[in-house]
Amino acid sequence: MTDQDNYRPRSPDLSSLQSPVSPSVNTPVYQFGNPVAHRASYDASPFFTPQYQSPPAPHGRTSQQYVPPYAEPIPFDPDMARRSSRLARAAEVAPMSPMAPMAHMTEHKYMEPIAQPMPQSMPQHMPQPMPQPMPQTIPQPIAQPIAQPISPPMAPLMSHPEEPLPLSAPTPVEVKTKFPVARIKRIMQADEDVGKVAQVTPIAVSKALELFMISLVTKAAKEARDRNSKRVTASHLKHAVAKDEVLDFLADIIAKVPDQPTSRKHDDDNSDGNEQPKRKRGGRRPKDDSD
Amino acid sequence: MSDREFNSNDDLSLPKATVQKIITEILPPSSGQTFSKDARDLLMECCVEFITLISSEANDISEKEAKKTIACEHVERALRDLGFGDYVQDVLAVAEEHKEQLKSREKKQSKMEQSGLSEEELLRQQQELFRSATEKYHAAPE
Repeated sequence: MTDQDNYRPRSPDLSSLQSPVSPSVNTPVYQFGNPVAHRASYDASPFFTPQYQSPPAPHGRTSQQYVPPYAEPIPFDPDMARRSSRLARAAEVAPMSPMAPMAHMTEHKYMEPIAQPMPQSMPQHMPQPMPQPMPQTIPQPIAQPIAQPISPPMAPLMSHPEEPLPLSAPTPVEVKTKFPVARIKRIMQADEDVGKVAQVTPIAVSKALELFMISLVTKAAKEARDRNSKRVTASHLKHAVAKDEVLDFLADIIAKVPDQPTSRKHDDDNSDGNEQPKRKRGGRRPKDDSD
Repeated sequence: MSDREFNSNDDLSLPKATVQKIITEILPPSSGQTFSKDARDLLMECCVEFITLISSEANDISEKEAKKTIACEHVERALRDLGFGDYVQDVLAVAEEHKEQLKSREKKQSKMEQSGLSEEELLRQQQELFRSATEKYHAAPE
């Protein structure tokens, strides 16, 4: 979890920089494109499969060891996402709902394999234009943590596929996690008027709920972004809800939330109080925005 | 009644872990945004309210039709009436998918039954297998 928070690979600039910059890195760079030239003899030998190319390069070695931890934090390769979401759309005829989902991820399983090349290619172009200060200069999504993954900056093998990263295209958010249907049914039947419920009904409701949640979260996130906050708070959600007529039925619930965002602890324990937002804790800590 | 009391209100909200997971799927770490705990709790309340709203609306609709069971169509109509018409298509797709699944499950079952043999025949085969197993067991060197 913390790992993931730390790594934010989204930046349109990076993608465009990538291909032109990479060749000139001063460390011994093995472009993925040309190792063949160096190792022609190996390649020619029947005993060397292409996979063996990377281990001989010492840097490649280290980079590979470093990969696994990063493979997960980068669950999002826009290009792949684009492809797989196209697949998904074709498969299940599930067009996006118009509430403009933002960054999304399709299937974890799809991502992981390609997530690997990313960390390797990142260091390659990163250090060039603006080595470490970058995180500070660019306030938004890239943020501090990129500095760490760079630590193996030599990982030059495998230059990333040169396609540009089209981050702008809003693609449908796909949520893999499903709600427990039995629970949904119980919540439905908590209302005493509600009698019998067909077997599919809770499933349908659960899908509707999923879409509803995506819409709420997306709206709240937008609200937060508009206010330059990286943390989506209850009050952002409140504002998002208040803007939408359709969500009037939530009025009572959001009425409990104070307008001013209150600072909150990051602890995990205080998660169940509805009263929480009301507690004031002496203003916002500056830290809140950075993590 | 006893049921309802037994499952206290704890059960009448959504599982936090699931909600959190879904939030992270919507706002992956790469988005650079995090969802605070109070926002999540509020979101969960909203979700429960949403379920209640939809089901009570669907219930009204089904009652108007003199139906005792809330069916998918009722949910569909409820969604439309309440301004969530956008969801209908996806919801129906999921419901359809579920029906398909049920169908294929039934098919599998009947396939087993229709192995082409009568029950007697199957029983006889089973006995046969038992016998051969016993023989093998006894024949096996100690």
